[in-house]
Amino acid sequence: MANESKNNRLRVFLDPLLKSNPLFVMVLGTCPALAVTTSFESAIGMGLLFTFVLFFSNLLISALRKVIPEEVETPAYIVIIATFVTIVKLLSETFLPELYSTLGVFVALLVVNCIVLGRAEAFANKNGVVDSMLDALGNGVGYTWAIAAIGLVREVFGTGTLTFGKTFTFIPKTTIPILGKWSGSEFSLALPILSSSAGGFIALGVALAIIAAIGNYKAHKAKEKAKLEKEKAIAAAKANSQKGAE
Amino acid sequence: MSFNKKFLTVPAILAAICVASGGLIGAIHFGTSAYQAAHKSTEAPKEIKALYTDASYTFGEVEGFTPVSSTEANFRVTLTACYTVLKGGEKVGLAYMVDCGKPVNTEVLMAISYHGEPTDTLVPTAINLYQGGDSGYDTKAASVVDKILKGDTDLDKIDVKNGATRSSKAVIDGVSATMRDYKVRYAGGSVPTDAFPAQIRTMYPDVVDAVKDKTFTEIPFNTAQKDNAGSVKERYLVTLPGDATAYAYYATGMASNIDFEGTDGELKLFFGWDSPVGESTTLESLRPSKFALEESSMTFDQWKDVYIPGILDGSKSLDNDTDIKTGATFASDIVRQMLLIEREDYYNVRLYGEQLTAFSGMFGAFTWDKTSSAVNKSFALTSPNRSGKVDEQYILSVNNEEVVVYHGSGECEIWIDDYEFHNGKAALYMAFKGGNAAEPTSIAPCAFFVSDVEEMAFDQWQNDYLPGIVDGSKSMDSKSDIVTGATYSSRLMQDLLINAREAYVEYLATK
Repeated sequence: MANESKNNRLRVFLDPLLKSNPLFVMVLGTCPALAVTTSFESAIGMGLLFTFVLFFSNLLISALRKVIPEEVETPAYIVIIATFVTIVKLLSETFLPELYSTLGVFVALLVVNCIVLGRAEAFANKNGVVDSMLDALGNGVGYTWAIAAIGLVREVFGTGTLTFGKTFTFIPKTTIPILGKWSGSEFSLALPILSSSAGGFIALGVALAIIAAIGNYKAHKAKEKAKLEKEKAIAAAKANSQKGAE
Repeated sequence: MSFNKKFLTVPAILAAICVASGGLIGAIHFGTSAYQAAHKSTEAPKEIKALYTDASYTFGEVEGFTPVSSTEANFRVTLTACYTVLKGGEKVGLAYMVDCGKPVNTEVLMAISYHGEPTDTLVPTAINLYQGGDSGYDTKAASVVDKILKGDTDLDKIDVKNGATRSSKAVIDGVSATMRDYKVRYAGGSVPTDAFPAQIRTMYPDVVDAVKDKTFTEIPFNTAQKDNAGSVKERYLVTLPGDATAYAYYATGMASNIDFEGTDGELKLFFGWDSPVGESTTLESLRPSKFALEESSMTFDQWKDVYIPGILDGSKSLDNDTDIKTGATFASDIVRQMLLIEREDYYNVRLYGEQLTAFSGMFGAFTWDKTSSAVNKSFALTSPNRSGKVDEQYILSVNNEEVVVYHGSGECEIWIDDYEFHNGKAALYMAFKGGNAAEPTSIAPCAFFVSDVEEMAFDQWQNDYLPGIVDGSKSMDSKSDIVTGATYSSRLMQDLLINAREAYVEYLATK
């Protein structure tokens, strides 16, 4: 019984990382995923702020789920989420001003982020505090790595370099030439379109297409395997019935 | 739902959540505000810090600094912040945050620092061009930065890079503005914002002051080509170190159909004229020595790159039609017309500047053949001491009527409160028209213009006595009309007027 509960909790955390990833599988939260993924660092920053808001919102909503009347659930959730968004806005403005100015309005727009509100209504108000925290962490990490991956691709292929320390100013600024600009040269294999708004759509679209292709391939394989097994079972049944007749 | 739940419990819970949220946000806001306030005054922006790899440099805000904006050769530049650069607690220089304008789509932003006493060969210590125009072009603007840092500070001549021309020019403007500010601010001086166009300072970096001449009236022109037209709009008297002066002219011109799409092109230019002009100087020998651009939307640049430099160095002549054929003929012809007007005005204003100012001050429009004749009327009286002379006579035509103007000057001793002694001096132009030579006392001046005043202490003589003489309410022959409060200076005016009238009566008698 205890093992089953432990496994369930592990699944609550692990499923959003891949199997039910909020961005790549559920296709939620695409607006910031398109807007703030021009660089790897800003995508990571957005993911961290998102995780902070989701974690504390889920925690509080879960803790208050028996107190908040059903009639005012949605307004109460929005107030709670807005509170943490405001807190994260104040903290990032003070301690990470570069990140705050890079993300701009998308920090404030976390209030209406469908993943945050969705997890509150679909999970936190039905489950305990620990499970809700794990769900928030799973979704937060899952969303963060997803947008970070898009940010990484867009920055590397869009500028030819990977820069650290531009948004997180507490680390030394380092630019790693990857697709050109080696030894100070101007040569680069970069595709600047990936740094533009259109590049966001292209990168996300390609990512979703690859994931859909993998999913379809897996489903196809599973279907074929099932069909094969079914044929084998039928063949076996036929063989058995012939044996019986003899 | 029960009544209590509907109207008490539910709202109370929602209110409690809101109050708790408000309290939490308020507490965090208080904390973050306090943190920001505590760190704002001591922290220099990272762009300034990035100027130095050596961590031993620290920065302090320059007290009382307010953003300084100036219009440079190409763009409007704002020095948004200024920090003192310190090493071991000792001031070693200044660092600026500079907004160089928006040459393409994005602002060019940079941080610049200077070290040590400003010299004529001042070079920035470091430049951090952290936002430099459109993507892809900023590295080319950065090469201009490298040139400047290597000591190439002849900012007018630094080669801007193809493909990032406007961004490079913005960088040059930013460096130029900070250099000027540093030269004054390093020693602790405050930098006043120029009251005159920045192009004048671009032409004359050491300008002491420049004053727009309000007596100058706009002079329009048309070129022989198409209907291209323009005007010389403004004239500035530029004061340079050592009491030297120059004249700066602002002119605009418009050329129609400069390309196949029928676009109009516009020029807005400043020229500086400072060659000496004497009686033996010919008009044709004069040429401008400085040029600054405010704006151009012309397609080709040969007018700027070939024609104007040729005029400035004397290899091209304003009087030669063929010299405008440089590849931007329309624009060059407009420039030529501007310069022809400016040249004539400069020649006149240098030779007859005082007279022209005085005559326009008295009459507005007039014609004058630029000649004068000598008059020899002088006086020297005692008790109180005063002396003067009327020395020049000018004959003008105002509204088709002859007007004779006399120039007179004099000085008188003035006592203020019986304790202080001053030697007051004044020079004025006195105009007469009509009148009967047989009845001199009936003749009064019709206008006057005070061209110079020194230490005359009280001014009733020019605000009350002279206007009274002109409007006929006072008589120059009446001692009782001398104004109380400026008695001695009014008596000097009375003597100058009587001498000028004597000269005028003599002139009438010769007619």
